[in-house]
Amino acid sequence: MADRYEDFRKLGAEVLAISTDSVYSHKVFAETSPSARRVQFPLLADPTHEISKCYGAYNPDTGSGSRTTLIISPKGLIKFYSKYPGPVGRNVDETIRVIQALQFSEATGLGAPAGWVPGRPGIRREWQLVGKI
Amino acid sequence: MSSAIRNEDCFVKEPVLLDKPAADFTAEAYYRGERVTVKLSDISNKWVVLFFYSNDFTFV
Repeated sequence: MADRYEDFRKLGAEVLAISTDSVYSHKVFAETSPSARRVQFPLLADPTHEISKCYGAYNPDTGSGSRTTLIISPKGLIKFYSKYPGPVGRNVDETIRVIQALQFSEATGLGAPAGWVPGRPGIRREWQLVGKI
Repeated sequence: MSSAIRNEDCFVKEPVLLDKPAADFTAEAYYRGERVTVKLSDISNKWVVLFFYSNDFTFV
């Protein structure tokens, strides 16, 4: 995620990483961990678990958040929600692709079909086309 | 009348819906060496990715 931050910025997106660890833990994590040292976006602390609970990321069995990703539009609406298994890291390419697809859909009024990537055609989501796709 | 699934076994108890407003929040954060306060509503006119992870020092 840290290496792809620039790609998010180019799309006009901000990244907020959040865990239930304290801000002190985040400081040491960012300063000492080889992977975290490259992080340029904020690491938010949610020690009361309120934010994690509210956004469907909290796991009461562990007291930690889980691998949950949400995408919020500029108008403040939740457009995407996903939860990955503990042992499986996320694919940042897919998060970027979803933002690109949402922006494409908003700009053109077309849907982004399965497997869409920039450059591919959109699809008209019209009643008349049902059964013809 | 028998039901198709046992409600007590359900993965989701309440519907998870998209296109809902994201609740505003304020949190302390570590940002580029500084201790800052981040308020979601201060980030305006941008897409925002909330990237929850379980713990510092583990596999993110």
